[in-house]
Amino acid sequence: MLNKRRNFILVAAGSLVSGFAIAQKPSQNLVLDSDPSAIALGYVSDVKKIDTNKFPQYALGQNCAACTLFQGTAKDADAPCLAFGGKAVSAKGWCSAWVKKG
Amino acid sequence: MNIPLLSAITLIGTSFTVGAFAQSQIPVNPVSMVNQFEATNGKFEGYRRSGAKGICATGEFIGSPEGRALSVASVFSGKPIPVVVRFSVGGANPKAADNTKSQRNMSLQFTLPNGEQWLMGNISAPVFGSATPQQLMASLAARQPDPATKAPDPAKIKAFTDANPEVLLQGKYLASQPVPASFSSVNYWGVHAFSFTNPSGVKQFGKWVFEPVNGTQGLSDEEAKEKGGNFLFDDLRQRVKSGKVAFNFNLELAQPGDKLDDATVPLPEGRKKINLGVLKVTSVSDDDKGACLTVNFNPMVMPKGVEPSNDPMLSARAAPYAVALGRRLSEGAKQ
Repeated sequence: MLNKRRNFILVAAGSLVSGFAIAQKPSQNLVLDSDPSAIALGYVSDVKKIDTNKFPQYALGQNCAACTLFQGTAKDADAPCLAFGGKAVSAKGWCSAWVKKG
Repeated sequence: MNIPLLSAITLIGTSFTVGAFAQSQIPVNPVSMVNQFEATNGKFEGYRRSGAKGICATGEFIGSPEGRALSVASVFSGKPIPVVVRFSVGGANPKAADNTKSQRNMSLQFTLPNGEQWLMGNISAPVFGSATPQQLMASLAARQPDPATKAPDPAKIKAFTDANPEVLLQGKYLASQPVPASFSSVNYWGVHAFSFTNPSGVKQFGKWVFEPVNGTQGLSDEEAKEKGGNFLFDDLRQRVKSGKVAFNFNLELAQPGDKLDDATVPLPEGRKKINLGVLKVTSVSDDDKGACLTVNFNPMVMPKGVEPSNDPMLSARAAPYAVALGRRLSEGAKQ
């Protein structure tokens, strides 16, 4: 019984650690700002880099994590985006196709 | 009047000026583009704003030796590549009739090794309806129904097309062709130019076309009338079941001097054509679901070894597609 309990605790702790690691680990298939698809969508990996003269529709508070096309959770540093065929975008990023998460 | 407001008014005014405006370099806001699509073509919640009546299928692609010699892209490896295929009837209406001389579409998602994808939106005409996003916006605006009559103003359309005759080329082509007998019996063109990089780093531009292995097949006007408005889905299911739906992925090779930045202009007749491989469709969704539902077929997503041309209409398709997908997700996405 004790062993079972110990194992459960170890597994649970391990899951928490690996879950944290997954959330923090950057995806290997990240969209780069220089990708043709990124340029076409005006994507930047950090909202601080938005050219607001070119994209006046940007408003404070908009970022990939708050977009309906972002397939991650609030904890994810990056996650697949439906606008890029599933390639990952930065949660701190933005593009001209931004649509508020419903 | 402050400068930003003046600029905004100028921008709006420019957006709806017919003619010379087509050459404007002012970026088109993708949200405005989707709004204009809805204003002109109607809004059908959950459905794609273009190609709303569609069906999802799956298949596989096997690249050819010629494809491997042309490009290092993994899609041409010769190994089977899974493909999601969406066939659709042109337009925003999910109840569009199948027996008219309108556009058919074949959109593709190649799932490649190492997380790569290749997305395409191919159409049953060798040319796109507009050369630039600005021209597309103006074209849509010219065709927007008048609130009083609920119909487009013919004078506005004539003024626009007189000043932009190239926008008529696609419609003229479709009108010259018979109603397709099947989604599987019509050619689908990529319409934009792309470059392909070979193992030595040499780039070759070209425009592609997917051509049915068993040839094209059209209906006479009488046959089209008899078929009615809903035959394409069942026809596709039957043909796929019998193993007869396959397309040659062919590339017309551009030569120096060919126009590569305008999707209303095909490559000149007689350009050498090579076969990049064969796409076989192997199954069709039994219902209105399938793997296509949230794929936006952004034509700017492509594998290493394939690059876009500087055609402004090509890059301009990406953002409105994504905006429209976002709206569909909010509304409850439908096929």
